[in-house]
Amino acid sequence: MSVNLYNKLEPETGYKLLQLSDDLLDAFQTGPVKFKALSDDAGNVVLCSEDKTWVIKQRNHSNTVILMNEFAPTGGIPEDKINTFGLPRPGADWAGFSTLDSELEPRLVDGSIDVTQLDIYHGKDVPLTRKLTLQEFKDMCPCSEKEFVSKWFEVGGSVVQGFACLLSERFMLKALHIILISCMAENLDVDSLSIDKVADVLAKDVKQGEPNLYTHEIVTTVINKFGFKVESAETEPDDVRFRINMSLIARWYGVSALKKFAAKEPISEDEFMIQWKGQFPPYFHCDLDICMLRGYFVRPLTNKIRYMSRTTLSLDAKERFKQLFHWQSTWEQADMVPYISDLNTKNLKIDTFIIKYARRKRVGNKVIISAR
Amino acid sequence: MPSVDISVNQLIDIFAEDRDTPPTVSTSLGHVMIEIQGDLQHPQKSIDPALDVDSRFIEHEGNGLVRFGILSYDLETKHVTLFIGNKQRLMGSIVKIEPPLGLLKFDKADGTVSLRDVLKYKIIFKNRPLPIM
Repeated sequence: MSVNLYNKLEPETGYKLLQLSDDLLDAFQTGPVKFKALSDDAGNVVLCSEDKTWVIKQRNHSNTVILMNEFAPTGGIPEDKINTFGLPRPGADWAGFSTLDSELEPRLVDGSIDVTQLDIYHGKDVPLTRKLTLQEFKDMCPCSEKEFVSKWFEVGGSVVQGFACLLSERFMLKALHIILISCMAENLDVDSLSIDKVADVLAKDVKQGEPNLYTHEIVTTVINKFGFKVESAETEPDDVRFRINMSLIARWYGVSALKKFAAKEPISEDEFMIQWKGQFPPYFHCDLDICMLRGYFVRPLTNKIRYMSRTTLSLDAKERFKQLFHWQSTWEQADMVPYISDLNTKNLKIDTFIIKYARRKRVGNKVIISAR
Repeated sequence: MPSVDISVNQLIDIFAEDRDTPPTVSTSLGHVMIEIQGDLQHPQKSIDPALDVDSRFIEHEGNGLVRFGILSYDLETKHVTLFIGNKQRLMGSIVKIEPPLGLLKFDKADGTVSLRDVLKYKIIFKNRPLPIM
């Protein structure tokens, strides 16, 4: 088969070639895929399906790629005008409409949210300054819809006065506290909470003339963050229910208690447990164990604990170990791991990572870490 | 363009096709991809019809086109020969594109993006041109 080749004298612009990996091809087949231009300095672009995110990189090359399509020339060309070099007479005509020197290469990544673009809401009547709607913020994030929803509540994202913002830790805990008190007072089942119901209960308690700080959006954020969706055959599909995540709630109250009672001076473990228990709403029961707070405290003295934030520690591994041994001369491995795991960027086995910087020995059924 | 959906309206039938289609040079939507190592040079402007003795310049649907060669291919052997002008020829082959390439069209005027086709095979010329004897 032989073909006449033509090129447009004025090529068309706006064409790009995108490598279609199997997962991306599946995404195109099953639902909408969208381009998102990020507002970062590098001008990066991502592709997002319903539940996946790909970073796009343009790979340039030195070859000439001609995109052609079949066409039927109007009028035809006299046969004697075409030199066929002994080939059969061309049976088709192709016209090049665009020439490219690059391909777009997608790489599957975990979607992420850039929270630095948002105001932090402390529960006071202070106007937000950045004024991004939730949709505008979503469009800026290199994140698919499903990834966004799960990460949004995880970081404490909410909507106040119609704009996207982050709830401060203090306000989030305050809202959680009020929600738990209301659940106790109204005898709501904490294993099957309805956001609408909880928001109604809170709205009912607002005094006349006062603003409702615990709006439906705030309740949605808090319940999504501190709960799991539960599926039940008894409820309608639209009636989404949540089960409260007791261990997460216990940890949040525990960290708050550490900041309150053990930030300046070490406190005995027994006394801390009493203070921790005292933070919860009356009659609220959940199991407490100091192990839940690993990564938030050190033991500078025997049987005494002190709050220590990971964010205050060095990003250099050697320096970080030095700081940790300054506060506590010997560590149980399980207590130390949350303080160092972010430094293990090469994904080494944690035992191997630790012995690069410290001494590790087994005592009974515990592993004890000490300085070299 | 903070965010824009990629339209795939034209590709419903393509997606229904088996992913392991047999070798072909043009897609079912009539698109062909040719890759040449190096540059392909051809006239950028049409010339006076009186001087165009080979009828190389034609008009099609309002666009000026220039004929730059003849291509011959065999789907069984996957061998391809491209004659450029009267002096050069290139030997190439039909190869599978891994992964396939989506042909995207960005329309700046209305800010839309559409996936126009999925290319699974291309014609590639890896060698230097040979003279036509």
